[in-house]
This record gives sequence, C-alpha cells and structure tokens, in this order.
Amino acid sequence: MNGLLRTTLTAGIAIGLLGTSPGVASPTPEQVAFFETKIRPVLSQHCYQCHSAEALRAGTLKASLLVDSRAGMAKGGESGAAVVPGKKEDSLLLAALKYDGFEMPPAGKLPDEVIADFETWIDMGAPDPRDEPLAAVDERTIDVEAGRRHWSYRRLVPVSPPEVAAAGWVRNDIDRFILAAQEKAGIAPAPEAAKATLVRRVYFDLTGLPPSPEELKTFLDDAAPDAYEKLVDRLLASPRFGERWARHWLDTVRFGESGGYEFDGDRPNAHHYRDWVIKALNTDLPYDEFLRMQVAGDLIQPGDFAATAATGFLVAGPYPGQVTAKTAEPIRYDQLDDMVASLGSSVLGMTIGCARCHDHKYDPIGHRDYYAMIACVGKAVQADHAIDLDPVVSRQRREAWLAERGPVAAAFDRFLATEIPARVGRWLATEAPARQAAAWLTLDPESVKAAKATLAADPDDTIVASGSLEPDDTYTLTFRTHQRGIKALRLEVPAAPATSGGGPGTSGDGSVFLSTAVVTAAPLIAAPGRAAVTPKLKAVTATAEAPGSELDKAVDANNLTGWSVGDASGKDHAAVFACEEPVGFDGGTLLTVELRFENGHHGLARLRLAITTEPAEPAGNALVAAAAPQAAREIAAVLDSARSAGRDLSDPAVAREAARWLGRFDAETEREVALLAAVDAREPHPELVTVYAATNGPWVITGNAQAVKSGSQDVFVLARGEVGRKKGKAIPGFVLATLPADHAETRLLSGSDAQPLADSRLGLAAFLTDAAHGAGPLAARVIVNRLWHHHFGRGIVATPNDLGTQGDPATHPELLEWLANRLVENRWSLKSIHRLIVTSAAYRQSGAGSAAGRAQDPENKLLWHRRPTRLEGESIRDALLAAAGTLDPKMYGRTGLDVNAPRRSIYLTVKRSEPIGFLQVFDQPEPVQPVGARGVATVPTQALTMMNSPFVRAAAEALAVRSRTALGLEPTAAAGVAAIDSCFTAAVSRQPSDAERVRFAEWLAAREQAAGGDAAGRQAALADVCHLIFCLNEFVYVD
Amino acid sequence: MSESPSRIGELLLPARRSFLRDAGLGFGGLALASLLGEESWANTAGGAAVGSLPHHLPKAKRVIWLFMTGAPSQVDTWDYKPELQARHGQPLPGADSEVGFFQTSGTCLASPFQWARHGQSGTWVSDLFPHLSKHVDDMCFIHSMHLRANNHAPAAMELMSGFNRPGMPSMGAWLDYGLGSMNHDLPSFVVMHERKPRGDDQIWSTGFLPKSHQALAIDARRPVAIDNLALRTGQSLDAQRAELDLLSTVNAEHAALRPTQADLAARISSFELAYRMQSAAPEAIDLAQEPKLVHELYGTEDPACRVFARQCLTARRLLERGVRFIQIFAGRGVAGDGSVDDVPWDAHSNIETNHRECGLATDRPAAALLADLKARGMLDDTLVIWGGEFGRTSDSQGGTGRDHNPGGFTIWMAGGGAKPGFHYGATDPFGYKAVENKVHVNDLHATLLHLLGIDHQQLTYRHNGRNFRLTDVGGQVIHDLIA
Repeated sequence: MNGLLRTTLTAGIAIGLLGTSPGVASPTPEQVAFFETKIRPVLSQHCYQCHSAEALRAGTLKASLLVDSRAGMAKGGESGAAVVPGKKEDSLLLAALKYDGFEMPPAGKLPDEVIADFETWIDMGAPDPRDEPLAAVDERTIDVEAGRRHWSYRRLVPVSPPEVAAAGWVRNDIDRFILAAQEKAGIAPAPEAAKATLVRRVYFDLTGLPPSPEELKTFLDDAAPDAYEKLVDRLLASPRFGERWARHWLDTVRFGESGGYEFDGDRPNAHHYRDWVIKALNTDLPYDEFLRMQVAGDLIQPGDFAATAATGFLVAGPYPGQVTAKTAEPIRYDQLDDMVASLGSSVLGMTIGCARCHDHKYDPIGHRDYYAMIACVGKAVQADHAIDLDPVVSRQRREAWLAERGPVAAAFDRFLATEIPARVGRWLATEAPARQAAAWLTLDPESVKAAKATLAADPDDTIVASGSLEPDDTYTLTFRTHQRGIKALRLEVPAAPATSGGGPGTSGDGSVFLSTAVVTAAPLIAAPGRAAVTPKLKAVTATAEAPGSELDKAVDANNLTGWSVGDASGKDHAAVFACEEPVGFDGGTLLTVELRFENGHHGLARLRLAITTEPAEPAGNALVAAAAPQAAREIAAVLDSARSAGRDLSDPAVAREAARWLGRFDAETEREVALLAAVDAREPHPELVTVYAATNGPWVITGNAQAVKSGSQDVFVLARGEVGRKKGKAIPGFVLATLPADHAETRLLSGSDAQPLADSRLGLAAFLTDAAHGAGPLAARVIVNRLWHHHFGRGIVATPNDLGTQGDPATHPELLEWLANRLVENRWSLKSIHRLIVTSAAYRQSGAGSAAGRAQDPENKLLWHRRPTRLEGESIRDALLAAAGTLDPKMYGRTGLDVNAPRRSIYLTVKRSEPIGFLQVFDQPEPVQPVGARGVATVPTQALTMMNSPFVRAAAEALAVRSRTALGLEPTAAAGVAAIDSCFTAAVSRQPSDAERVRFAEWLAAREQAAGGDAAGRQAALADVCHLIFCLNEFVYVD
Repeated sequence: MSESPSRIGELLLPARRSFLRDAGLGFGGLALASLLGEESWANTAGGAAVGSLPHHLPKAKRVIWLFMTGAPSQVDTWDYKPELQARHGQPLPGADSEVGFFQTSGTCLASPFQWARHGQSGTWVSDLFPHLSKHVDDMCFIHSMHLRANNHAPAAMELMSGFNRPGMPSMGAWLDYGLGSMNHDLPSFVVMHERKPRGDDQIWSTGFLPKSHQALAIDARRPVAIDNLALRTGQSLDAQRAELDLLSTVNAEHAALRPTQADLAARISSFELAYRMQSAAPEAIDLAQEPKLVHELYGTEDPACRVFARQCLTARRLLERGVRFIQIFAGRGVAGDGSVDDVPWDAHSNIETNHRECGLATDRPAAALLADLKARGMLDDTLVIWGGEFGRTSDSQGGTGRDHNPGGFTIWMAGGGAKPGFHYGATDPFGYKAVENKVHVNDLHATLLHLLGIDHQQLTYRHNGRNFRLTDVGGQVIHDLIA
C-alpha cells in the first residue's frame, strides 16, 4: 500500500453515542427468534468480515458500512441506509443480496430462500435486538497531511545546480543536472550535433516546420559564435512558434470543434479559443495569466473578446447532441466532470476524475475535493457570445457618427416645428379628401425578408423576390399602421412575366402554394393592456382555388395543406382573409405577416398586401376593389390618435410620424425625411464576433426541443457519483493536499479584503496559479515537464498528465524543481524556459552515443545522446506543404476538413466524428480526454498514405515544379543533379551524399526515360524523385 | 560505435518474415509495442500488464458482431411474452417513467408479429426471421442484457467499450492490443457500415490505446473501400517495387547510423507490408471470386438485403484471411424508399413497418453467414454475436412505436464456444426489465474475452495513472454460457 494512503479510522474506535436506536419499538420474542436463527447467522458468516466494528478496528471496513448493529444498518454506508424497516425497495442490503446494483456477498449469491428470509424480516419491520451503539466511522480514507509531502504537491524548494567534473561541457545550469547524473552512472554525453543537424532540429521543435533553403543557408553561413542563440531568438519570435506549441496545448485540453456523441453538432465559433492560445503563446503571456484566463477570463475581463475566448478551455469537451429531461442532470454532471478532470490532467497533472465516486485510491485526493472543485465551476455553461472585437474603436466611431448626425437631426427638428403643421394642414385641406375614398389601403413595407430568397419593395409597394428562389421558403413582412379596427387583409399575387414560370409562384410552372399565412399585430408604443395579438384568420375569397387546396387550407393548423390556384398560373391572383377580431392599437401597430411555403413548394415572385377597416364581406368585389396608398389615411389616423391623447402637431413625436407619411405626397418633406434617414442608415454597428466559450448562467437544456429542463446552479455531492444519491450541497474548494494548509482554501476563495472574490471560479483561478498559497508549485512543475517532454520526446516525468503517486518517477527530480523555480522567478515566462532548454548542451547533443551509455542506460533516460524523433502528423503534413512551397502562411480562422487546404494543420477543423485521415493515421489523438504524450505507432497505412495519397503526390509535383523553375530549366530539358540537390534541401534540409546523388540521378534518368521527353514526362519524373524523398525515414524522423 | 549496415541487411532479409509479422498493422501484441516504440521513449503511458497471452486455451479465434443499429425490440424478435400479447392496451405493470428516452404511454403494446417455436430447443421466434429461425439450435441467447445509457451513441459506446462516453478503447482495439494479428497483410479489426451509426467512429475508437490498433472502417457507400490502397495514377507495381528498393537502401543506410532508434527499421518494414497490402486487400474483398451459389445464399442481388449480404460475405472472406474482429452496423431505412438511417432499427413510431423492413434487410444474410461458417468448419472457433445497443419498451410510444429500453434486452451468440440452443436469463413477464440472471455489458465482455482465451482482469493498459480494462471495475465470466 502506498505511503500516502493511510486509512484514518483511528477515531472510529471511539464509541460514539449516535442517537437512540431506530427500528421497531420492541421486538416480540418470535421476531427475535426469527432474527437470531435466520438473519444474524447469515450476517455474521457473510458480512461481518468487511462490515463490522471488528473490521473497522482491523482496517478492513468496506464502504463505511457496519451491519453488526441495528444503528449501523439504519445509518448504512456510502450509498445510504442498508435496511429501512418495512421498506424492501429502499433497503440496499436486500438489493445487494439480490445482486441488483451491488453484488453481496462477493463470493457468490446466497440461496434464494435466504434472501426470502431477509425480505420477510424487513417486511416485519426488521426487528433487531442488537442495541450496540454505533461506532463512528470517518469516511475519509486519505491522509491530507501526508499528501502535502508528496514531491509534486510541496511548496517550491530552492535547488542549486550540482557540481560536475567535466564543467567544460556545460552551457547552462540545466547541463549540470544532466551531466551530474551521467557522471554518476559513468556515462559521457554525446558531442554537439553538426550545425546542419541542429538547425533542422530546432526549427521543427520550435516552429513545427523545416527551415527554408534560404533560412538554412543564412544559419550555416553565420560563423558568429552565438549564431545558434540568435537563431533561437528568431524562432521564438516567429508567429510559427505559437502555431506549433498551441497544438501541444490543444492535445492536453481535448480541444474539438464539435460536440461528439449523437449528431456531433458543429461548434462553428470554437476556433477562437485555438486562435487565442496561439496568440497567447506568441506573446509569451505569463503562464499563470494564461491559466487564469482559461478558467475565468469572462469574469476577470467581462466583455473582452480575448478573455472570453480563453474560457473555451472549460467547454471544449464533448457534449451530447440529444438531451431529454431524463438525461439532463447526469449529462450536466458529466460536463462538470469533463471540466474538472481535464483541468486536473492538463494543469495539475492529477487524475482528479478518479475521485468522482470515492476518495482517490492512490493519490491524496478526496471525494470531497472533487466535489469542491466541481462546485467552483458549477455555474459555468457553454454559450455562443457575440462580442465586440474592439469596443474602443466602436465607441469612437459612434461618437463620430453622433457628431455628424447632430446638425442634421436639429435641422429636421426645426423643419418639424416650423413647416410640418402648415404642410399637413394644407394637404388635409386640399388633397386628402380625394385620396381617402378607397376602402382598401396598400401597405407600405417597413421591412421585408425571406429565409432563402432576397425580397425588395417597389415604389408601388409590390414586394419582389429574387436571389435563391428555392422551395420551402418563409417570407416575413412588417408594416406600420395607425389604423384601428383592421378587419381584413388582401394578398395580391400578380403574374410575373419576367420569371421562368410566369408567376405568381417562383417555381418553374408559376404555381402558387401558400402553406400558411399568419398575421401578428404588436403595439408600437407599449402600454398596460396592449399586448401583441395573433388574430385568427378566416378565408374569405380567392380568385381561384384548386380542389382540396382551397384558401382555408392556408389558415388551418396543417402545414401539409395550403392554398393553390391550381393550373391558373401566369395570371394575376388575389386572396382575402378576414380577422376574426379587428386589430389595431392606439398609438400605432406593427403588423407582421408571415407567409410560409412548405413541403417542397416555392414562394411568390411578386406580392402586395392591403388592409381594410371595412367589412370584407360580402366578398363581392373585395378582390378587385381599388386601393389607395396606405399613407393617404395614416396622417388622419396619426392626428386622431394624438388628439385623443391631448396632443397635436406641435408635439415633435406626432409631427415626426405625420412627416413620415406626408413625404409620400410632399417632395420637400420627403427630402427632409430622407436626409435624416441617410444619416441614420450610416449608424455604425460594432463588429461583433461570435465566440464559443464559457459563461455563468443556469444550465438550460434545449437539445432538440423534445424536452426542456433547466437546472439550478447548485451542485451536490453524489455518493458513488450517482445523481440519484445526493448527499448535500457541494461547497466550493480545492484539493486540500495541494494547499500549504487547510485554511488556505478560504483565503483563496475569498480573495483579499481589498478585492473580495465574487465567484468561486475566480478562486479556482487563484488556486491554480498561487505559488505561495495554492497549487501554483504543482502547475509550474507540470508545465515545465511538458515543455521538456516536447523538446526531448520524453518528460523528466514520463507521464506528463500524472505527477501523482502513480506517475512515473522523475529521471531528474532536482532539475524539474529547478526549472519550476526558474519559471516562477521569470514571471511565468514560458519562452524563458524554452530558451534555457534549447540552448543547453544537453539539447544540442548529436545522435552518436557511447558504449557505456548503451550498456548502462539503453532507454536514454539520462540523455547521453539524441535519438531521432518522429514528427507528429501535423508537422509531417506542414513539412510537405512547406517543401512544396504551397503552404499558406495565413493565421487564424476556420478552415474546414479538407486535408488539401494549404494551411497549417492546426487550422484544420477538429470534428470529433470525422478525424482527418492523414493526421489520424499519424497518431493524432482523439480530442476527448487530455493527452500529454502522444503515441508513436508505425503502421503500413502510414506507408500507404505516403506512397499513394493524392495529398503527398501533389506536394511532390509542386516541389518538382518549384525546383525546375528555380533552376530555370526549359520545360523539355532533363533535370540534373542540381534539381536533385534542390529537392533534397527543400525536403530534408541537406544536400544528398555523393552516393545518394548517384543513385537518385540514376533513378531520375530511368524515370525520365520511362516518362518520355515531353514537358509532362520531365515534370513527372522529377516529381517521382521528390515523392521518394518524402518517403524517406529522414523526412519524418528528425535527428 | 554504430552498427554495421549488414546488421540492418540481416534484419531485412533472412529475418524478414518474422519481423514483418510483428511490424504490422494492427499487429499488436506487446512484442510489437516495444519494438515499434509505441512508447518509444519508454513507458509514458503504456506499461502493459497483460500477463502471457492467451491466458488460457481459447475456444474462439475470431469474432463477428452483427450490430443491429438503432436497437431492435426484444419483445418483437427473440423474447416471446404471452402476457404482453394478452394485455395489449392495458396498463403495463411496473411502468417506469425513468425507462425510455422520451415519454411512453405506460400501456402495453403487443407484438404485431406472429410467433412460433423453432428447432430442437423449441425457441420462440417472431416471423421477422424466417431464415435465422432455422439456426436457433446453434444460438446461445442472453435475454437479460442491460446497460446504463439510454441513447444510441452512448449506449453503442458502452456496448463496445464498457463506458458510456467517448474516448475509451473498443473491444476490437483491445483484442488487437492483447492478441495481435493472425495475418500478415490485412488489418486485424474491421468495421463495416453503410450510413455511419449514430456516434460514428467514437464507437470503434482505439481510445487511449496506440493507434496501431485502429479499426479499418469500410463504408459500403464508397467505391474505394480502403484509403490510399490504390496506386497513384500512372504508377505501376513494378515501378513502385523499384522505388521501394531504392527507398529501402537509402533508409537502411540512414537507420544504420542511428542504431538506438528501433522504429526506423520498423518503418522500413511497414513500407514492404504496405506494398503487399495493395494486392492482398483488394483480393480479400473481391466478391467476384465467390461462386454464384454463395451469392444467392447471402442474397447479394436481392434489393431488400444486398448491402448487408455483401457485408456479411466480405466479412467471411476477411475472417478466413485472419481478420480477428469484425463489426457490421446493419439495418435499413424505415421509409421503404431505400434511404438509410443512422439508427435503422429505432422504431419510435411504427414497430411493425420498421422492424419488417430491418428484418428483411438482415435476416437472410445473417442466416447465410451462420450456414456458410458452419459448412466451412469455421463456426467452431468463430463467435457470431447479434444484437443492438439496447432493447425497446414494452409499453407504447405514440401508439405503435417503442422507446429505448436499456433495462432488458436480448443478444444472441453462436459458435466460438457459446453453448448452442441455450437460453440464459430472463426479463419480467412483459419483457420490460431484466430480472433473472442479469447480464451487464461488463459481464458480456468478460465472457467474450474468456472465450478468446483472455482473463479480462489481466488485460490492462496504463493510462493517466490507472490501469484500465475493457470491463472497468466490473465483469464476471458467465460460465453457464460456455459450451
């Protein structure tokens, strides 16, 4: 058993007087006899070994359950009461005996008759004469104090680099640790690698790309003693650095851009998190800040785009695409588990997920700690946020616009005050009477839009569809009106000779099929008693109706049926609907008319709507009755409405509304209205970008509308992790063993007096990064080990996600401690650690090794030489594009799933159900759980990919073209050794050896002969050579 | 200090065969894991603890799992319940609102199918399976299956990996990891589907196991079964052979200078293996080589079942050639228009038309596969498994449909050491919940691994600080199921 694990049951021996004995008042002698003959012997024989005070004393107690007393049975264990008198279904003991859920005794199910005895006994009220008081059981099985002494949980300890004999080899302090261990083992380090080897190594390591031939030359030609250090600085400053190292981080945070599970719904706004990581690493955002932002950026800098994007970390995990009321709660706990378990693995190198059901079996992580951590993120939910990328610029733009608008608005106000009353008066006196005669008013659209088609309104109020004239469209049209008592609506659908089907429908035969028409009337001015209404529509009449598709089918509840004019296409049509209750609000109404064309039917090419306040019945000539423009009667309506409120045109609001309609008849007014409208149309809107990230809010299940359930933000401790077994509210807190003392928890959660923390997620951010009072030392050790892992192919601790007791022992524990100290001292600058590592002599070793090394340390744990490391799939793909010269250096954004897109692999979309074959075959991990160390498998499907995939071939062809072009070869000229040399250099950063040059030249000549001497043949032959170079081990293994 | 090139030459020539066998595709095993440097820089994650495999003499060498995607109803297929038939339209005793994924009526829905007894075993079978019903005496039924998840994707993951969440290795990957390959030029773990089942590749995931244990997924809709198997345009096998010879020479020189990286030699071999796969794999899946009689037996020309028929026949060819674990996701669209659903058996609305169509799509090919395996003597050591991701409710959903029911369902096995003509476990009189000899997925897996010669408690893989098993912390071998 592990040293940290001590069953702390010492208190258990103390006899507690835990209440009076429950159970029946006083068992009868018959009942006692039943117990003594049928029940006690079974308990004693099969259960006491693990569930008695004796077991407690012996340290073999299981599940905190004691069945050797009545009180123990009633109290039960971790899962609840073992026996509930009279209630068989609630008695877990019985369920366990039946092997239902639990299986007890574990050695084998007891005979049915014995189980039947227990049923009988519980039915009779579980009479039990055993009055022994209950021994108190401390359910904790971990020793926090001992846990605090675990090497990775301690505070940081200052470490001095050891003295070494061969001090001449040392380039920086890292080397002292490495060399000291080697000297102790009698091994000498390998000599420094050649410059040509180093440059390829450090390029791939820091940027994930090979050096270009020019970059290669620059470095090789630089004879300065610090040429390498300068190169390292250049690479650390390159934007390619962030692209490379962000990919490592994304592995550890299970980053994906879809939900996984059923349907694997896309998260089109999830890539902002990935882009944020790239930027953060490029700008060397201090690692503590890097973590805080990912855990609580939305709370630290509310409304800030970058801070919000950072929290994509919390919600990057898979999430079911189909949720019902029954599954909502367990799914929510799974989501919280995903957040905290991922946080544990990636940031703390800790398998905290193991404590979901019980105390961790090996590490000092309590069940309580797990739920405390869950409670910290208990309010966090996933959401798509629309965020202003640059609020400062937006504010400046708005201010500039307001300055421009000011004078125009003032001029308009003057016009309203000085001109409008007179102009309205004149119009009412002279023109109005003639224009108000018509019963119908054509509606002047306020807005027109369709789900698919593009709609626009003509000057005569006809709405015209263009653009995507596809089936299954919905038109949504809005209108303002001050009319009261609107009784009917007329839909005019004229023929459309200009369209292919001649109209009125947009389909090829012009057919009309209106599945549903809905009208909503909403008050323009909110007031008590004024609520939007959806009047029930009644079909009155139509110009034509196909049998079975009469007009009333457009206002029934069935979307399969609708109004059709049958084969009478190519003609003008109209239909009239009546409102069962007249509509129109005092102060004005916004009418919304929704026309749906469903089940494969097309929309209308042209349409116009009219209303009337007179009865539409009898139908008579309603279909063809003349209509006046809406404006004709709106002015009067506006004035009527104002008058009843005791206002008139001297009120600017009334004048404005009247001017709006008068413009239709008065050119001067129209011009004034248009001037202001033109400025208003230029109103700047902030550039909002939608980002998928975390936010605080109630979790609401809106999965697929089958069931909707929202939950409170309370999180409960769950016995055995089951939502049906809540043990009380979980209180925010942390893994106690990673704190210097228990009381640090409160301190971290509450913040300082000056700055108290409003949210436990902020406390969590502090916990993770506080080196003095929180788990900062652990976080520092974990990240420097990750950096080491990626630079050397193996961490100082070979299990980067687990620095707990079950993780691998550190090969160089003092070095790890020293690096963690450097990180914190260097204000958590990751680049400072990268620089230290890649400029060390340890890193610069060649692959040559000593016999002593091979004998003493075949696994190279002491790093006595450098072994070739296989590139990750992303780097192989990127290197192909780079060698081909086709790599698009564009950064950020969403790319999709096409492997042939010439962008760096980190920008390809990560869809959980559709891994990209090229990357998957080269061991890209599944984005489901944090991965610290990728596998490196060698399988023939990789060889097939390299030999036969169109992607690799395209790269080979591009490199061949590039090479021939650079050498200025005529299209039909044979390529020579110069071409071979240039292709080699582009692909593997070196010239071929003499022997290789001869072989490849022979091969090229043979291919050229086979392919023929035309341009295509020459091209293909050199492409074959490039293809072969890409297949070399050397292309994917970096020395 | 470096090894001479001849050492590499040795590696590539005389010892080539055994080396290739190890270096392969899926070719698991532990020898390989270390050779290929799964954890090439030591035991970062692996640290296998599998004992010496097989742990005991296996009864089954290979497995074919006919996965009835979408979940067939137990009470309409293999679990006859007269009580349910008699009480149609009456309240279902014990109706539990927690069962099912949506809402159910609580009212008994009798099976609309005709039932009859078949075989020496007198097994009740509905008339959905006129062909399979002839094989009941070879089948070993588990009527008391149950699992936790009550939706397709998580349940399919649970059935294949033991966990109802993504990211865990599926059984095929575990087997490849534990037992390695039985062939030299084909993958060991093959999945076939038409439209991908709900949950997609997550169902046959390698999880945290090395990617070398990855399934090859054959999509019935695609003309090219295996990616990058076809030579590139203009390339001939001869030209490629010459190319590989040059490649091997250069690679061997490169490897010789880097003797401490064993993966380099493995990679050289992997190209040779890939080269041979290009011929072997197309041959393995070329159904034109099968006689007409066999095509007729499976029904490869019958529009109602030809996709599954072709899959079953392809599977048999692959099994013959040493593929160890094959999983076919089967079923057919409910609309009767030939469309393929991602959960074809998912009869939420009309159990009769849905199951009729899915029965037609699967019955004859599955029966043909049993007959064919038997005729070739392969059924003895080939374990055939038939079942969906869960069962369906005994009460109705929306009048004539049935909702999901993970609380009790039937799976049958045949061959490979499963006890023939045997029924194990039972649901209640309404077929609603497993009540007798309940079998959890972990138990099923433990039993399957046992048949394959593996002690499920010893097949582990270290990941994130813990030894994981296919059976998690549960699983009991059910010896009653074993012949």
